[in-house]
Amino acid sequence: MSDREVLVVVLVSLPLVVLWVSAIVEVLRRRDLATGRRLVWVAALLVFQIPALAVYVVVRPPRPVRMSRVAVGTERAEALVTLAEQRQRGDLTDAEWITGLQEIGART
Amino acid sequence: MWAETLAGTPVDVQSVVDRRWSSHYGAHEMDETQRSISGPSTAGADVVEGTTRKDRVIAKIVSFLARAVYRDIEVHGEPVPRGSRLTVSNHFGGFSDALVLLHVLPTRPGIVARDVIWRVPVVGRLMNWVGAIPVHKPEDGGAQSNNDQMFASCYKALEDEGHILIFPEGVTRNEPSIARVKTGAARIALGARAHGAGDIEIVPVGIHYEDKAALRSRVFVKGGEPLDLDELVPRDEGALDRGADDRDSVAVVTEAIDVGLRRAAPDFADWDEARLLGTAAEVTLRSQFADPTSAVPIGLRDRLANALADRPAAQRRRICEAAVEYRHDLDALGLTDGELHDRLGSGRFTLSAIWQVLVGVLLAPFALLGAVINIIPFLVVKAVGLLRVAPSMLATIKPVAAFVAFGITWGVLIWRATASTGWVAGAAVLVLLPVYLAAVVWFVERMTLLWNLVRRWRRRSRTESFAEHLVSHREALVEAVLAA
Repeated sequence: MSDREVLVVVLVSLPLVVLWVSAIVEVLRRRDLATGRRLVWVAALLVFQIPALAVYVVVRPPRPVRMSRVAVGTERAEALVTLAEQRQRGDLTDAEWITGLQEIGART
Repeated sequence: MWAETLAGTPVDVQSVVDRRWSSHYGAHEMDETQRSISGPSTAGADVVEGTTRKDRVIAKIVSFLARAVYRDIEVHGEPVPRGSRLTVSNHFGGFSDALVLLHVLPTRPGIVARDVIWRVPVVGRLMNWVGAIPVHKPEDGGAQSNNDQMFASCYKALEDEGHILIFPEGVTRNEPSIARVKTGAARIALGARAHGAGDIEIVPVGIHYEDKAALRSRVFVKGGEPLDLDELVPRDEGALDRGADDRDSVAVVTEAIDVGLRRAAPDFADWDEARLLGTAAEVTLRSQFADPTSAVPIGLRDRLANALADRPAAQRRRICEAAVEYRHDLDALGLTDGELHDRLGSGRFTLSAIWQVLVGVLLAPFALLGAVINIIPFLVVKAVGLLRVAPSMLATIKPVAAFVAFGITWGVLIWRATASTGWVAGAAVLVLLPVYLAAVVWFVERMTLLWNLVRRWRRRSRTESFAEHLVSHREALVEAVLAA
């Protein structure tokens, strides 16, 4: 294999194969598609490969928007922010704020 | 795996996802209970209910652009109301605001925008294509009497249970605060009700930029509490509904929008206060983390900073003074608060450095090819960034320049590949171009991480000798926030 062929395999063929396999796996795991449509997509990807991959890239739905989340170990910080927002809205008095801080363990 | 390939943002699988504001397009990742509060179910349907092919194409382009321009887009808020809805947002980032909101809102809104935007070549056509509605202003050389068409379009959309997005301050802001809210949004809502639209909800939304002029920074969108128009101004059954001409009702609704917007959006006295309260919020939140080396999400930080901005002036001053002291310490050491807690032993330094180098070496050939392909559009965007204009204007120009420059370059490459080798080659180029661009971004981010590791390793002895001093200033800052 010449240097040029190695370069083409590494830079073009390898990523295309990875993307093609990823697309098939993604289609099989998509719950928003009926089984029949999933099978049609998989068949198209197997038969037409790169052109089908290009079409799938264009028509696949965008990734979901990432929502704010409570990560493990940050629950107390989340509770602190919720308390601060409650006080900002006027739902908490200063005394309730201090009690709330003690209850969530933010302040002893 | 596939999704991450194009988006470039790793997914934190350890977290519990709050999908209350989730997109229709993301419904396939939700469970049944979550679907019940987030719009029509899409299970078993390829075509999302209520969306057209054009909606999906726009969503696709907007999603790609938004994820390319921003490293992280975080959303937090109240449930998406059904039916007629008027979204009101702060306007700190010009065109970027529309880009971010089109990306995160569950349905494509009709965007009410100043007619001057239509005078810009290309952008005007783009505005028509996304269904934006021009508003004429005297300061732009237009007559307000020409706005009948704008009001009629908005009324029609709300009557059809549609969605309108408006920036009620009327101007793009360079200050981190909400300008006086104008009456347009209230007049649209009341006028639409008088024309027969029912159950109108006004949703204040705050957009928080980490750095609005920078590429690959973070942005946070906070959905405020929806305002029910019928609760704000009860319908007077039997009486003539004067709609947009009822000045008292317009004043009530405008006031409610003002309050809602100030709670959802950044609203600080000035940029110094915004930065210092941001630092104070970040340090305080990290002090509550089980693992203090974790990154503080921009959403948590900005929500707390916003709440602190509402405290009395004396307490804000105390917090800002403590934040200045602590930031001086950190600046002297060239460290961030997160790095302070991350003790870098020799074993961990070696392992982390080897990992970054390994990933960098694997990415290097793709990143190099991506850099060669994208160098011209990249330089165009960089040159635009050097323009001496306000940050909000840069936030408008940069994404448009990136869209045009990368679009033309990629279009030419796909056309050349198709013309010379055939349409299969063209399809391959279409698929590979975003991958090469993502490889460049990942490579640069890995190398930045490696540089930060080396920098911290070289300064570790100085940090340890200064530790006691740092800890006392840090504790004083956290105490100032909790006592505020």
